[in-house]
Amino acid sequence: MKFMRANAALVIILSFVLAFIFTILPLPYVANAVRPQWILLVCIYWSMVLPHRFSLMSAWVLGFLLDIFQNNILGTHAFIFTVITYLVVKFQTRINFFPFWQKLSIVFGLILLGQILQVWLNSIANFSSNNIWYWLQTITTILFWPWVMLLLQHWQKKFNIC
Amino acid sequence: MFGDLHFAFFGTVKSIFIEIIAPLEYTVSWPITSLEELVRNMASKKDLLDENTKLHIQNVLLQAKVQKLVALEQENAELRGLVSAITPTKERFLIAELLAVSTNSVSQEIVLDKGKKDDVYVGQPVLDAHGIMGQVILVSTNTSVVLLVTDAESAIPVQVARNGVRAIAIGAGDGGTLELTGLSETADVKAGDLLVTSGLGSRFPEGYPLGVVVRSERIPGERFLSVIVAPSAHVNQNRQVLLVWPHLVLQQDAREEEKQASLAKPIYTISKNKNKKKLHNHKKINTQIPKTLEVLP
Repeated sequence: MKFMRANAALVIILSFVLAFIFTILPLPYVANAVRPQWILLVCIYWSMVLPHRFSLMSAWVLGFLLDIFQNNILGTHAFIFTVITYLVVKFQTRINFFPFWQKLSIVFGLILLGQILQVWLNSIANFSSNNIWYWLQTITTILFWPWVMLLLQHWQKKFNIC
Repeated sequence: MFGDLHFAFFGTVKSIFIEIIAPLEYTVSWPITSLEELVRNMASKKDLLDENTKLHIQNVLLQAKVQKLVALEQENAELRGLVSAITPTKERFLIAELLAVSTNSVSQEIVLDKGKKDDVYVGQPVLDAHGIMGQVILVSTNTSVVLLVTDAESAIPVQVARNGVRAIAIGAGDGGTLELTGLSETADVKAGDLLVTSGLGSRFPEGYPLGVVVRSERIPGERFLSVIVAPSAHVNQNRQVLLVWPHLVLQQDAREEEKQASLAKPIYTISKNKNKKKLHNHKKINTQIPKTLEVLP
């Protein structure tokens, strides 16, 4: 039992390390606008299937780490991840059993909420940017949701995480 | 949550956390650098010999130019009447490699692989081969974060090389251009003008190129000239940058230092005094890092 718990923690941490690696991978400057938000996707997935293990506190810590990496104002992503994870965890019992397309649209709504919150918080702190390609990030992120979900589902079954 | 905006304490918090997560940044950039190394190692001997000859010739030409530069500097100092400034001053350079770029679309920052253990300090100017790239804003033990000139938060005092008109170049935030502020409608700034740092504010050494004016137009109804500048440095393409320590004096005569300090009095008001650090065998004249900068044109 204890072994299984340690196993679960390791897999979750590994999935986040991979997400971080993809987030901070240096790409040409124009790729920044369309970089999918891997950490957000992994966060949504784990809070959807394991709300008792991975919840608000972990989401806050991850958002904080992302802020450190991106040299944002400390707390922007922490706040955003917490809000999104709260919504997922609150409606988890229903969302987890939705068919694929409904899940996709809900996750799209959450990602869009994340983008709006980011713009709002950045503009409070006077970092405004008139970049229209910023909103392309929502579409790119949602494009990768099925792959992230399938991969993590596969890992979950393989390592028997519950 | 916005404590970061208002308190400088969070800078140290960030430095501590960056130390913890720096290994991940190194691991991410490692495949890319090792791939480049591999490609370089597999270059043919002929290519290497050709490149060697080309660099050798370039080196000789640059050294010839530098000889003339030393003579010009001395003549310039004489003409300005700062006789005591003819003591040799040396700027120390250090090459740093890019470790990561900011993945935020609202801020343009880069992370370098040099930190506190290499004597990097907050406010240090960063150049590349073509011009000013930015300044260091956060220092950790092994890494440091640099704010590029094109970021919306970056402001550099510049002057037009042609006629000495002074202004402040603020990044536009879109990753590729800067704007000049503080110019009245009748200022003489034209497209194609070269902008160099004016040295006011003692952050950036004087005379380094910042960019070239792309467009300068009078918008009817606005009280200031609207000038768009393209940076000379390849801000989005570099892997290697130069960290520079300006104002280093190798002679350690205290009296000479006093004279130079009183002659090079900064024309700004300092509201906070930070970080008067002593390096091993150099002495810095001006290590006061001002929190607010009011430059009088």
